[in-house]
This record gives sequence, structure tokens and C-alpha cells, in this order.
Amino acid sequence: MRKIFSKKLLLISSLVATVSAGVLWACGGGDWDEYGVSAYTPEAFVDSAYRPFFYSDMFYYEMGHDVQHIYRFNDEVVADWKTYLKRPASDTELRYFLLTASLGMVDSVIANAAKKLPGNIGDMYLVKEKSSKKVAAFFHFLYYAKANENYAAPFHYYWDYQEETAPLKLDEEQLKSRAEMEVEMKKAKDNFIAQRYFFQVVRAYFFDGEFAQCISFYETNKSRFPENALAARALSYVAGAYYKQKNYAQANYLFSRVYDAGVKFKTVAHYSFHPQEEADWQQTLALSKSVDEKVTLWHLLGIYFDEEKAIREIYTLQPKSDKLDLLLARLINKQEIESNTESTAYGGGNYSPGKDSLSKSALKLVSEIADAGKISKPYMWQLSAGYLHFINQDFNKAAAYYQKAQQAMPATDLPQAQLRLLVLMNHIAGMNKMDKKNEDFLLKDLVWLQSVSDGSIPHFRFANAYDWIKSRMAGLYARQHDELRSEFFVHRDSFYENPLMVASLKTFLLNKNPTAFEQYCKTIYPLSARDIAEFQYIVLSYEDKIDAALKLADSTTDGGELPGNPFNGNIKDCHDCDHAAPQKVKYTKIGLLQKMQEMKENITAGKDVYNNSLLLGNAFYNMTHYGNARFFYECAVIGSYHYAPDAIPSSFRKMLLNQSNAKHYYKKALAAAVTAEQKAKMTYLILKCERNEWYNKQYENGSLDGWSEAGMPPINFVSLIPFKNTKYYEDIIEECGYFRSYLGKNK
Amino acid sequence: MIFRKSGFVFALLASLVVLFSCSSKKTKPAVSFYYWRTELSLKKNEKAALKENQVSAIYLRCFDIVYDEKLKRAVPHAILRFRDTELVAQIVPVVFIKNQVFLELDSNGIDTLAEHTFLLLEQINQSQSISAKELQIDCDWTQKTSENYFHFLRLLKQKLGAKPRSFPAAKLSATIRLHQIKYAGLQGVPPVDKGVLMFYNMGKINGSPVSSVYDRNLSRSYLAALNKYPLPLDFALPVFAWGIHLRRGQVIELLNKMDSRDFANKNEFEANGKSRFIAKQSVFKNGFYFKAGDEIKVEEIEAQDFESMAEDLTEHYKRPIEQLIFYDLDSINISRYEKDIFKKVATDF
Repeated sequence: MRKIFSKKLLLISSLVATVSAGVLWACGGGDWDEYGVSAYTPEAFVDSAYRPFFYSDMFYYEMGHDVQHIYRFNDEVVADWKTYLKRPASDTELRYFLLTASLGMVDSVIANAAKKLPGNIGDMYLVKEKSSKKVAAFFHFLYYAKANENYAAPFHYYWDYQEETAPLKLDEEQLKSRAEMEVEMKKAKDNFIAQRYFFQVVRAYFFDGEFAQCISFYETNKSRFPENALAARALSYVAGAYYKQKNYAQANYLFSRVYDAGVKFKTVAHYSFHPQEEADWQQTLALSKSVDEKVTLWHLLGIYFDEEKAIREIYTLQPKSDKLDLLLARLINKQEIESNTESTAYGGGNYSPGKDSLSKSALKLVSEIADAGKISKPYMWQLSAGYLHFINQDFNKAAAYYQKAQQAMPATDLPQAQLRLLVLMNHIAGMNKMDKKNEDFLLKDLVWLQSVSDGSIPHFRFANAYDWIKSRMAGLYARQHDELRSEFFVHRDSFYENPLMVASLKTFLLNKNPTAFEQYCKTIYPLSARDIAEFQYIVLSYEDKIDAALKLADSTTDGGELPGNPFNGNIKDCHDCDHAAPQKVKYTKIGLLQKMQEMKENITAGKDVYNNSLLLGNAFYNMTHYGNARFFYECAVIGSYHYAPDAIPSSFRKMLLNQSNAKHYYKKALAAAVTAEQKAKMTYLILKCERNEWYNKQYENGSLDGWSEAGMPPINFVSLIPFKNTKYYEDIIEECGYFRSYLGKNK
Repeated sequence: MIFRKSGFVFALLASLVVLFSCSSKKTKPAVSFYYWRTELSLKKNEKAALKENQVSAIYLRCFDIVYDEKLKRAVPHAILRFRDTELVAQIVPVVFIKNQVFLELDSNGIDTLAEHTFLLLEQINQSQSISAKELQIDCDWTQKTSENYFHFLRLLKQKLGAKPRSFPAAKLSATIRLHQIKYAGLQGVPPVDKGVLMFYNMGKINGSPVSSVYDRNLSRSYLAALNKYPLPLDFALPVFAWGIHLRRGQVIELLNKMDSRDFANKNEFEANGKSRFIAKQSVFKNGFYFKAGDEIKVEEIEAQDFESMAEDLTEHYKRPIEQLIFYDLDSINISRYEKDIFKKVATDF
């Protein structure tokens, strides 16, 4: 498509890489969190051991996938040896030998005298003491452990076919080493050493694909060793061996045992837990030897698939189990997400629980358990029941549960904050108007919520709830036609369309003796009286009330220099060219207005009407979105960097696109023009304004947006023809391709 | 005048030749299969299907390429292990590449990836004494990744051009999704010798009555662009089935390799209209957990669907069709059909 006036409508060259920006109107930061839209913080009640299983978009909460497999037990391994050796060996030495040293280095240490080793090694305490009984056993074991490390913690090149698809088998050396380690285990009198060989052998059988032997070796020898973390690590391989044998019932049972072996085992055991068919799941349940074990099985099923069913089962088996806490938190977090409707009745809050999608069976279950009070944390269940009733819009029931929860709620920050937030939400949900009484009632909590917005209570999920609270309050104010107070809670650009409202907002912000509630409103509003004043004089300027504008403007609202000469009026619109051109006089916003006022006075006095009108026309032209002085209107209210008309908030779009001021002064100049050159110029500049008006219409009727190329505006150049002998006419031909093509078609 | 006349005669002759070649092009396409498991080990009915249907080639997924976020590089994933080495059909190695790979890598990364990919393919071919006549790349590229992806393909083509032992005179082909045909102008045409149109996965995976795998009405919106596509095309047709696990109307997961036979006439499930089932109680099955009340929508291709595919594809693709590739060779899939159905489908084309 041909270009018009040598430029597309989008005069964006200087702004290509920017996006429109304005005030960051409050909208909670919570909507992108991995837990989704939430006002219920599991950290308030659930043991941190279960943290990875908090409900989240990620596989594991705040973790994603568990990739710690190779490093998980490094610290424990070092600590265990340190305790065992009872020598002043530093952690650095132990870490070096256990985690870093190569097999070759361990071999050298065993084979050579300390003084023959490199200084940094030979001087180590462990090396000097290597013939003492325990240290010798340490190095002896280490030799085997290093020799068997490569299959358990392999290095991947990834792109080698043989390497990547090699069958799960140990090589000859490793097989020999496994046999020797069995002997070492048997002959070791020291159980600490023996257990380490035991673990190595179990692991070696597993990586050799000898699953039956892995299981039988473990079973034959396990009773010799304590049930510590190393035993659980061995058990993990045995569970894996059952899994490989497709004995899912036994595998899943053992994984559940591993799950209970400690915090570090939880993710890996959970990840491996996979019942396949109902029959193997029933067998797994039958394998459990105690209530505790059965509880863990249901707990795992609950995390993966079905919190409600698991809660029912565990509650029957062991109502005081802390494994219920996690499942309850997950159930509530899921209910929050599922019952949230995307939009609110008013404002832009994204937290909006709706009763329709709430699971009624969850509501019933949680209420019943809360009522019975047999659990270990009744306050958590009461609070949760209250929250579900809140979602169900039964605010009285919610309040009753919250009241019960309050009685035993722990006095620590997070549980208290959680309760306070939910109670506040319930209050607001139950209100059907906003008056002084309600404002005073809410004030303390609102101020508190504002004060914790700095993140001072770690993990606390308040942001979505705070948005929702503001949105509810804004809605109530709007219903009562209190547009001003509504604006404080949810901003709408349309508020600024009404000058009276804007004035009342400024008065409100300037009030030196606000009530406590008014002070809170001022605190949460992102704009100051100064910002409002700047907006006001900008609006007056576009109404051609320059003197009134100047009365409102002062140095605090001036806002820097305009990038180009606002009095330029060229054939082509080129912001970059105007901004790059040398300028003798630089104008600020107020400087521009003062000059414009001077020109207006000159016109009134009949002084050089043509030139003053022309320059005023240019200034008004440049103040629109089409001109080189967009900077004039950029402010906190309107925003800045509007790359295209659609990026301007709709409430201000008409004002910033309007050509009538420019046209008015160009017409005045035309009327005062004497020479043909002057007339040609004014005729052309008026046509340019009309072109823009045509574009504006395209925007209004929706046939154009900021990203598409504009069509050809139907400009009637015929009014220029009488001036074809002027130089200005020649210049237009030179610079304006559209005009050239017009002449070509209309010879 | 003379010139004009002879010109006319020539034109007439030419049109006869065209007519003649049109009528002679109607040879039926060869039947091939994709093999998409991670271990090549054919079950009895899979071997039988190869024989019964005179299958000419197995398009063998050799490995995937994924982007490893932690290593910050592309790595092969699920490399194929061979258990069966005696195969009745020709082997065409296929590599599936996640589109993300081409989003993440820069031009140097692509060069290295092409090197690695080709070396690994050569290793695989050599390990099984395969000399392949074709190499196929499968990637759901987008407008954003087309530049990187096409660069990668050009590098592979160069390597094939050197006629290495395991790929003597091999062609390079690429899979094409329906949207890539429809929006060829935007998404570009891959620099390969031929394309394989994946004539499936055309709809949204959801609980609606429309199948996401194949729906005749949906497919029609793509067909108009078929004949204009600049590459010669083979057609990949679906024989797989899966279930869509729904809870309160929302998709929970895909139930791979499960079909109506898994749910029909089972105590734990009841039928709820055609190809739909409801879990009567909470239950584990095939490693999936169904909550009481959950719904399963089974999507499977029926024998008559092949007839409509043949009708539509031959109507809109006027060039010779050399090959149909069925996705995928798997005992569960083929056991839903008559033994020689694939051969018969080819006669409809």
C-alpha cells in the first residue's frame, strides 16, 4: 500500500521499542503466583516437611521438579562420618574425600606414605592418620564407594548411542567389587562400616538389574542395622526393585515407608508412588502393618488424586494425624481455584469466589470434622470450614466458624493474619452499603492490610484478597453514587472525564485534616494532588482555556522540556526529525502555554494575526497525538508512550486526537493571509488536519487499529490547485507522495 | 498460420499426454507404519499386520530432542532400544523435536544440534546395519521457530547430500500439521524433499462431542489449501485411540492407549452415550485414578472414517499419493480393526 504524506499514520519511529505506560494502578501481585488465586496460606498451619506438596501449578511447590537425586544426602554422609571418626577432621577434608576426590586419589592415599603425596593432600589430618583403625576403614570403604559411583551418579554426554542405551548391567570390575563388598560387610565388626557396605551392595544389585537378589540380600541382612536414613536409602532401592518386577503392591507399600523416613525422602518417595490397578492398591493397603502405615498410604493417595476420600479414610483411622493438615490445605486451595470466577461484578479484581463450583461434599466433610473436634488442630478446620461457607456465601455460618477458630488460634503472626484476613473478607461480603459506621468498623483491618503489603509476613497470601476487598468496596460506593470513594478503591479512567469529580478528588487529597478513614484512602491512592493539578491544566489547555490553565500550573507541575519545537508546522509529520532538529528556544509545558497565551493576546489585539494564528495552530496540532509534542499531555493520569491511538486510555482519546483547535487557528490564519504563499500553506495545513479527522473516524468506527496500515484518506486537494504557482505548492509536490499521485490521476 | 497450426497440434498432444499420465497415476499408495515406542520389540499381531498389509516401511522414532532447562542445551530423550533386529520392512529413522528447542537455541546451537543429531542417527543405523532411504523430522514448528528449524533442516540435507554409508541417497522429509498447510504463507514451507501431512489431532481436546483426533467437518476447513502446498505429500492417518479424562467437564489428563474396550461392560464404569463412560466408584485402572463421577470420552477411529478420509484427501489432493503412514503400529491399536484393513484403505486412495 502506498504511504500517505510519506509516513504511515503511525508516527511511532521514536517510540517503537516502548509500550504505553502510566501509573501502576493497584492490582495485586498475586495473580501470577504458582498457587494461583488464593487467600488461604498453607504455611499458616501445615508442617514445613509437607511444603513440596502444597497445591501449586508446579510439580512441587516452590521447587518444580526434584532434581536433587545426586546431592540430596551429601551433608548427612559427611556428618555421619564426622561423628563416627570422632577425630578433629575438618568438614573440608571430609567433603573433599567423600564428595570430590577421584578413585585414583583415594587409591594413592591408601598406597603411598603421606609425605609422598602432594603437599595439600599429604598435610591433611585424615591422610596423616590413615593407619589408625577407623581412618583406615574409612579409606578402605571409600575406595569401593568411588569404584561404584559411576552407575549411581553417572555423567551424561547424552549423544552417544551405546552409552545411552547400554543395558542395566555392571561390568566385570564392578561385579568383583560387589562380591568383595559383601565379604567386607560380613567381616566388619563395626556396624557403622558394615551398614555402608550393605547399602553399597543393595544398590549394586539394583543397578545390575538383579532385582530379586537386591530384595533377598536386603531382607537377609537388614535386621543387623538400625533404622536410620541409610537404611531408608537402601529400602528405596528395594522398593524400586519391586517396581521393576511389576510388583506394584509391594513397591508402593515400601515407597510409603520411605516417605515416612524423613523430610528428605518425601518428594522422591511420592514421585515413585504409582498404584496401577485397583487390585494392587487394595493389596498395598493390606500390606500395611499399622494404622500409621495405612494413614501414610491414604495420605499419598490424597496428595495425588483425591483429598476428600483420603481425609475421610485418615479421619476414621487416626483423626489426630498431621497428615490430615496437608490434605485439608490442598482441598481448600483447590476449592478456591475451582470456585473462582474470572471476573467480578465490579472493577478488575481477579479473586471472586463463587458458590456454584464449590464442592458441596467438601463443605460438608470439613464442617463435620470441624464440629466433631477430634482433630489435632481444630482451629485450622474451623477456619477452613468458615472459608468454605464464605465461598458458599453463607456469611453467618462462616462468622460462627471463625469465632470458634479464634479461641485456640496460635498467637503467631501467620495464623493470626490468616484468620484476620478471612474475617475481614467475611465482614465485607456481608455488608450491603458503605457508611461511616462500616468505614470505621473496617478501618483498622484495612490499615493493617495496607501495612502488611510490604511482605512483612512471609508467605502470607493477601494480595488477591485485598484486591477483592477493594473491588467490593468500590462496588458498594458506586452503587451509592459515591464516585469519589469508589475511585480510591478501584480506579477507572472514566472518573477523570468529569471535571467536577476531578476537582473534588483534588480537594480531598489536599485536605489537611482528613479523618482516619480519609487518610487511609489517600494512602492507597497512587496519585497526589499535584498529579491531579497537572491533569487539570492539561485538560484546560485542550479546551483552549490557556489563561485558566496557566493559573493552575506551577513549577511543581511543569514536568521538563518538550523534545521538539512545538511551533513547527511541516508538510510531513516527523517526530524524530523535529526532536533531532536544533532548537534555539526550548519550551517546557508551562513555557509553551505562556507563549501561546502571548500569541492569543496578540491576536485579540490584532497584532500580526496571520503569524500568531499559524503558530498557535501549529502548537495545538503538535499537542495532539499526531504532533511532535505528545510530551505535553504525558502525565500520571493519562500515562505516556502511547504507541498508537488505541494505547491511549479511551477516556482521553478524543481529547488527544481532536483537530479542531489546530483547524480553528489555521482557518484564522487563512483568513488573515495576504500572499498566495501564505494561503497555500494554510490550505495545506487545514487539509492535513482533515486527513487526521478521517483517521480518527476510522478508529471510532473500529475499522482501524494501531497495528494495521491505514488506507488512503479521501483528501480533496482541489483547494490547493489555485496556488499551483507558489513555491509552497512545489514543496508539497516534492515532499508529499500522495499529493503527487493525486496530481497524476487528476491531470 | 503454419506456426499457429502446429502450435495447436502440439498443445493438443500435450493435453493428451497430461490426460494419459493422469489416468495412469492411479497406482495405490504403499502402506507404512509409524513405530513410536521406546523399545523396538514387535508383538505377534504387530508382525502379522506388517505381513498381511504388505507394509513397505516402518517409520521408526529413534529419539526425541528436548530442551533441558537445567543444562541449557538440547539433549536426546527416550532413545530407541532394539530388541527385534529382524524386520520385514524398510526402516526410515524419525526424530521428534520439541518446538521449544528451536525457541531456545541460537544459530551456533543449531549447528551443534545438527551435528549431534546426525552422528547419533548414524550410530543407530550402523548398530543395526540400516541403510535408510529417507530421514524424517517431526516438529510442530511455528512462525517464530521456522527460521531456526528450517536452518536445521538445511544442515541435515547437506549431510545427507554427502551420501554417508548409513544414508545412501536418502531423502529428507518432514511432518506437516494441518495448520501449517492452511497458513503456509505465515509459517513457511520446510526445505525438505517431501512432507507428510498428519491428518489427525485437528480439534481441541475437551469434553465436547467433537473428536479432537479426527472430525470430518473440522478437517474440511483445512483441505482447500492442500493442493496448493508446494511440497509433495504423503499422508499420515490415525489408528490410535485415547481417552480424555474429564472431571466436572474439565480435562484432567489424556488416557493413552485406552479405548472403549477398557470401559465398556466393566463394573466400575457405566456407558453414557456413544464412546462416553462414567466412573461409578473411585478406582485405579491402567495407572490412572478415576474418581466416582468422572467422565471418560474415548476418541477412536472407526473403519468407515478411513473411507471419508480417502474421499476428502483424493478430492483435494490431485497429485499422486505415494504412501500412507499409519500412526502407530501397536498391538492395542491394530487389534481394533480387521487384520488387512490397512491394505484395503490404500485401495480407496
